[in-house]
This record gives sequence, C-alpha cells and structure tokens, in this order.
Amino acid sequence: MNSPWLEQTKAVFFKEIRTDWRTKHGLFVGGLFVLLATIAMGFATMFDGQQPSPDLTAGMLVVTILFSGATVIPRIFLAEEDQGTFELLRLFAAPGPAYAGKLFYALLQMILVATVSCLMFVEMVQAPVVQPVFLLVSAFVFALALGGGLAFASSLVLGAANRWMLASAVGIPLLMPVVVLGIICLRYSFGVGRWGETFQSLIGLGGMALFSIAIGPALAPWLWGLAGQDKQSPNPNLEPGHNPSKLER
Amino acid sequence: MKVQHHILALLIFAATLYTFLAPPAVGFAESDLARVIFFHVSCAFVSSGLMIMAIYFGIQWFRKQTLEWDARLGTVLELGALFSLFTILTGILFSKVQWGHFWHADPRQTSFLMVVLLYGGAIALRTSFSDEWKRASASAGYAIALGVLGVFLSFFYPRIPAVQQSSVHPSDTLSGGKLDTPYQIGFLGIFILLSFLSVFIYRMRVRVVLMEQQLDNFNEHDPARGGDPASVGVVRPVAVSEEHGGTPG
Repeated sequence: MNSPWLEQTKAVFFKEIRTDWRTKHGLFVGGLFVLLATIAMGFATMFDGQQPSPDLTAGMLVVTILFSGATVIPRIFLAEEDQGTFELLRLFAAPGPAYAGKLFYALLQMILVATVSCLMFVEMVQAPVVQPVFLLVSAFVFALALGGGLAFASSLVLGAANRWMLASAVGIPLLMPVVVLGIICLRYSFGVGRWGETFQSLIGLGGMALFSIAIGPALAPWLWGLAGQDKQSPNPNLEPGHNPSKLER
Repeated sequence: MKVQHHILALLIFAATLYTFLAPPAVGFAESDLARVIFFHVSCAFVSSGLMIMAIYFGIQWFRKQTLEWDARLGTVLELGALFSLFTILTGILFSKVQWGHFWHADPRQTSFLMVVLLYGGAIALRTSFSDEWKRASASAGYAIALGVLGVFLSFFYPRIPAVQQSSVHPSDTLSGGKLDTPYQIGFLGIFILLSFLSVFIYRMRVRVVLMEQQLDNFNEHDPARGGDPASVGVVRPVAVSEEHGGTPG
C-alpha cells in the first residue's frame, strides 16, 4: 500500500501534467523559448564560418540550457500563486508532497529542455559528437541538478516582489558550480578533457543534483508553512516597552 | 564611549600604522603592494566564518521561528556580503599588479566570485519581501544552501589537486609557513581586528533591527500614528459546550 506522502506527491505531479496539457499555453511558450534560445546561440557562430571549439561548444550549450531552464521552471511554482490556487493546493496536500510533486514535474520538463537543446544545438553548430552516449548521460544529470536548484529557488521567492525575475537572480548563483561541472562533463562528449577529471565532475554533478532535490521537500514544511499566514510575533522581546539593549537568547 | 570602543579605536590605529611600517615583501612584482594580503586573506577568513554562522542562524530560525533569529541572520548575510566583496576587490587589485590582469580566470578567483554572487542573491532575496515572516523563512532556506555551497567553494574546491595545479593563487602560504614574521604578525593582527570589528558591527546592527521591529510593532497598535488598537491579539471564536452554559447547537 502506498504511503499518503507518495499518494499526494503523485496526485500533485499528475495535476501539473493535466493542467499544462489542458491549456498547453505554458508548454508552448516554454518550448518556444527553448527553441529561440538555442537558435540565437547557434547564430553566435554563424559569421565565423568555422565550427566552434569543443570547449566553446560545451559552454554555449550549457548556457543555453541554463537560461532556458531559468525561464521554464519557475513558472511551475509562480503561476500557481498568480492564479490564486496556491492556498487551495496547500489545503489538499502537505507542503512536502506538494513541493515534491511539482519538483518531479520540473525535473521532467528540465530533461525535455536539455534533450531538445542538445539535439538542436549540436545540429545547428554541426559540432562533432565523439561520445554520444556520454553526452546524453551528462545532459541528463545536468538537467536534474539544474531542475532541482531552480525549483528550490522558485519555492523561496513565493510572495516576493518581482518574483519572476527574482527566481532567476536567486537561482543562478546557486547553480554556478553546476554550470562549471556541466561544462567539464559536456566538453568530454565533444572530444576534449581527461576521463578522470570528467568522471569526478560527473559525480560532483550527481551529488549536487541529489542535494538540490533533497533540500526542497525537507524545508518545504517550514518554507510553505509560514507563507500567507497572518502571524503575530510570539517573541516577548519584540513587545512594546522591552529594552532591546541586551541581546537575549 | 565604552572601554571596548577605545580598544577598537586603538587597534585600528595600530593596524593602520603597522600596515605602513611593515617591510616590503620579497618575491612580488610590486613588493609594497604585497601588504594587501593582510586585508585580503583576513576578509576571506571573516566572510567564511560569517557563512558558517549563516547556516547556524538559518537552522535556528526554522527551529525557534522568532524574528530575533531573522535579525541575526540578515545581519550576518549583510556583513558576509561586505567582507566577501572586499576580498574579491583586493584580490582583483593584487591580480592586476602581480599577474598583469584584473581577472585571471583563476579557479580560486572564480570560485570566490561564486561566493560573492551567492551573497548577492541573498541580499536580493531579503530586499524583495515586504512580509517579515516570509522574508525570514525564505532567507533561512537560502542561507542553508548558501552555506553548504560556500563552504565547498571556499575550503574544499581550491584544495582539489587538479585545481591546485592549474591555479596561480597560492594555497599553502599560511599552512606551509611561507610568510615571514613581520607579515605573519600583520596578518594575525588585522584578522583579529576585523573579527572584533565584525562582532561590534553585528551587535549594533542586530540591536538596530530589533528596535526598528519594535517601533513598527508599536506604531501598528497606536491610533495616534494611524494604527489599529484592535489589531492587538487575534480573537478566535470559541465553541462553548452546553455543560459550560452554552446554547445547544
């Protein structure tokens, strides 16, 4: 028998799929942005007349996936608040499973974004792929790490001003190490780099993916438990008349 | 003024004097400018210490959930951002003089730039919330992620053998005893000074934040200032059973 946590997570996950599939607006806009970002990045080498170096190819591909993800993933969390259904969601699911359901949908979308970006970008710049299987593996792990980090950042900014921009402004610094590790892994697919360094980077990328996926559901009960509450201060230190000259534990 | 203020002023005077009196270093392109390592390394140590404190205060916020812990967390994040900025700026200056470029794409330089960006994201996050409770929970979640990543980027990543080999930034100057006695004294003295200074600023800032919160709380309840005295306390309807004199339902 499935646990309530798992049942709620599955319910939220399938709710996200059904909602996006019913309107298709988010899928269309997100998909269009991914295509446009990949094409625009492909134009960067158009006038050179030569194939970019493997290092540059890997870097450009990673940047494309990063900014595509930064546009697509926050919508999963922020659109819920804009539509006014976030409080309704919290009535039907505990914060942890609600976050996990959205997280798994974010990971699914991120894998699709990475796959489409890889295939289109490689074709546009005609980059020779030396290790195609490793390209897919490293893109997959990279997508997991990015998706987890962006989902966490998006959950932090609920209720903030300019939250659509803030999600990227907060998420991308958290993902800088992921970007570097992703470039090291992907450049090996294009024939550059040593296996030892690449393998270490892949392990590091996997570790970061696990960390970013685990931290969200663990903190969601506290992050979303307070969101929207009209909470008065329980701290007697903050009552009028209290002398704040001494720091009290 | 209190005794510790006089001591702090004396320490600042002594540190300034020593910085000018310390002998020029041997083995540097600009031997007089080598004195910047007094401040560069000290600021790096202080910002790393503040990063670890941010993790602690973030966890304490989730455990205790009082605005005092948020005041402490916010102060530590602000100070950490300031000291990390000083570190990167002094490092950039030294890099230009010693190695000929403001930015060397050195792994150590790059990893610390990521730390600065992480702090920048924390400041951006805190300034985007008008609700103090949402701000506190979001900041605490971000601080934990910042601390874990920051500790890795500051302490572990630069010591990976492959990174050490490719970096021109020395990593064993202190541990390998490569500093001469005058420079050891200068570094230690300024590190102690900056530690005292950061504690002094931290205590003052937390006190100011708590007083501001107290004033806001007071103004909310004072009708002369546009507040609503009825907003004191939250009244919840209580169902009274028949045996205690209530009317039957």
